[in-house]
Amino acid sequence: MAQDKNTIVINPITRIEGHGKITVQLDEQGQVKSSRFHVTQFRGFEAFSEGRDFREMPVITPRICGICPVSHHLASAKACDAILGVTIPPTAHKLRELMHMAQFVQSHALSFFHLSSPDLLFGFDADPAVRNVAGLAKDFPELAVMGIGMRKFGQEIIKILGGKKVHPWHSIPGGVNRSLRVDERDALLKDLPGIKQNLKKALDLIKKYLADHDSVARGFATVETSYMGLVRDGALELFDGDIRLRSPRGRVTDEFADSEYYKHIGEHVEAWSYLKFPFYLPLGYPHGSYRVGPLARLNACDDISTPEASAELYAFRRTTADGVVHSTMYYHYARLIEILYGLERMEELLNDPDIIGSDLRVTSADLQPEGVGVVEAPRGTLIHHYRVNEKGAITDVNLIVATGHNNWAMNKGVDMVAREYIKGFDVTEGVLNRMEHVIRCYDPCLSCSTHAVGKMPLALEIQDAQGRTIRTLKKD
Amino acid sequence: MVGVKALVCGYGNPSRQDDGAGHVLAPRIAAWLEEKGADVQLELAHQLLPELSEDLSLVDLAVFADASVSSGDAEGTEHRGFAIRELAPDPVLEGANLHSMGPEWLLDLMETLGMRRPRALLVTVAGASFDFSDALTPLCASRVETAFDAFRACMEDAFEAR
Repeated sequence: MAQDKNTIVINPITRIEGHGKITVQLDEQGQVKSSRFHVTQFRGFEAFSEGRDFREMPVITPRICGICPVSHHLASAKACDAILGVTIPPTAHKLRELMHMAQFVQSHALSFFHLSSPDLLFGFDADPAVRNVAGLAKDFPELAVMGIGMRKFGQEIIKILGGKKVHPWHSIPGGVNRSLRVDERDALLKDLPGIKQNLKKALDLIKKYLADHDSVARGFATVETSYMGLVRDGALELFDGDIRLRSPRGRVTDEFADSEYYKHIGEHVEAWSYLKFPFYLPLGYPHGSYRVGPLARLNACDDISTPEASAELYAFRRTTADGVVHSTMYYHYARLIEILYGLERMEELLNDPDIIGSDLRVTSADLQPEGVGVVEAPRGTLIHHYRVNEKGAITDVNLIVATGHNNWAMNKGVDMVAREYIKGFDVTEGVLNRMEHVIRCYDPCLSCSTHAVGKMPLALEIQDAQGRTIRTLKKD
Repeated sequence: MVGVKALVCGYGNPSRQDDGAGHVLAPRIAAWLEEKGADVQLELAHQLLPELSEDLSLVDLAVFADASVSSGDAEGTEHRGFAIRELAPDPVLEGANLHSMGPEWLLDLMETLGMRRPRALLVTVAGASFDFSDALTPLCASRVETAFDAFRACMEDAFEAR
């Protein structure tokens, strides 16, 4: 493609999970006219699952992603439980939740320690050669070791229950296929306090960063939106609750059963991205756009059920006058609070006698025509909805993934940063990195959201007033 | 090899035909090392990640098994479709993301973090096709056999020499 001076392309965007591209269009004076975050690949899991037996879905759908396969595994299993029309035994429910908490810990640790902290610790304008996980290991070894330990702890739990760290197989329609042994439980309980101690150090670090960079952090790609997340009796819920929406002013807009999501959520499509734009139906698109993920969940809930995370939530909310936190960079802070909740919840689950029970599964031959499974994936609300024929063969699949919910806000954020920092045709690497960091705040998994094949990173492209690409940045 | 603690890690995408060579070779190497009295941990993964460093810091010997797109003739192994080499830390990341981390980078990370580093070997087997399949091509499967025999001979020589 011909390139001229008015087009910027960031392609690929690095240190995110997935593939995508940012396009910035400039006017004749070199001022930003518009910016877009595109997702440029397509996979089509919804299409090729048709005709498969629904019981295979908890094994097929985790292949969408290597970062949050557990979330797909669990959402899928829940949809299959609904098709069977059963309530799974308490032990199975708690083992699934334990694996889910492990997934949160390892995935959030990857996002914060390995992908995002280099920007915060070295600065957006630092040399990209050191602004990465290797630089982190060199200059901040304690933090790098914390990240490695936290990731490993979460992955070990996934491996114990599901046989593998990535793409585990544990949940089956109606329950789970493996119990937890007493010695395994005791070993995990022994490691928990050290992991939690390290997490608190990371929390101190992000709080100090946000205080030291207050004006930048509060203004960075900040957009006032509604927030969506699961709640149970009003409290933060990651595994099994009702879907709640809270308005930008803090009012609860709606709360409904997860199985009724389709009555409340629509999906808008743009020709320039394979990633859909979900929105709250009563408000229409784009007014009904909302955000999901750690920041959204902490805004949507009333409280957190575990004591230490609850205390952190109150400190988090005290950072704004009305208790609703809109600053996009506070996603990192919220992510660490959720790790704390995950660790506390693990402790509760591991100390519950049910966790070492042996009643693992129920079954039924009376199939329901459809089933919905919803969990909070680390990146936000994940919805699996299957329809089956009388033999259990899949006739229709709808997947709404976290990154899709945040699509409108990511686009808005990228556009805001472009307008603030790009003045003319000479665009520095630090400016481009700021635009990438908007995406990193949301920790999107683009392979999930587009079900994409191939390598992961993302691109930035700058276009002139005629739409010609004048500059492209690629990093792989 | 009695008393030797070893970690054998096969990596690659087993759903992309010969890219799964490491997943076939690593269990064979692990079983053989165990027969010889080593205390072996086997890991199979799509890619290497920083957290493997913790496990590596606890062993004396690390053996990585991977597929290769090259002929496998490098490093003195001629025309046999595989290569065996001892690894040293190397900070150069292949590409700009964690999806392309090599074992040398992992060893360098360990050194940077002050972790105890094991002796490390890499066995690569040249793939013939990387299409969608969970079975190796016959050519690659035979190269896995040859690579395994060569690894075994290489290790036996090394231990006899001690």
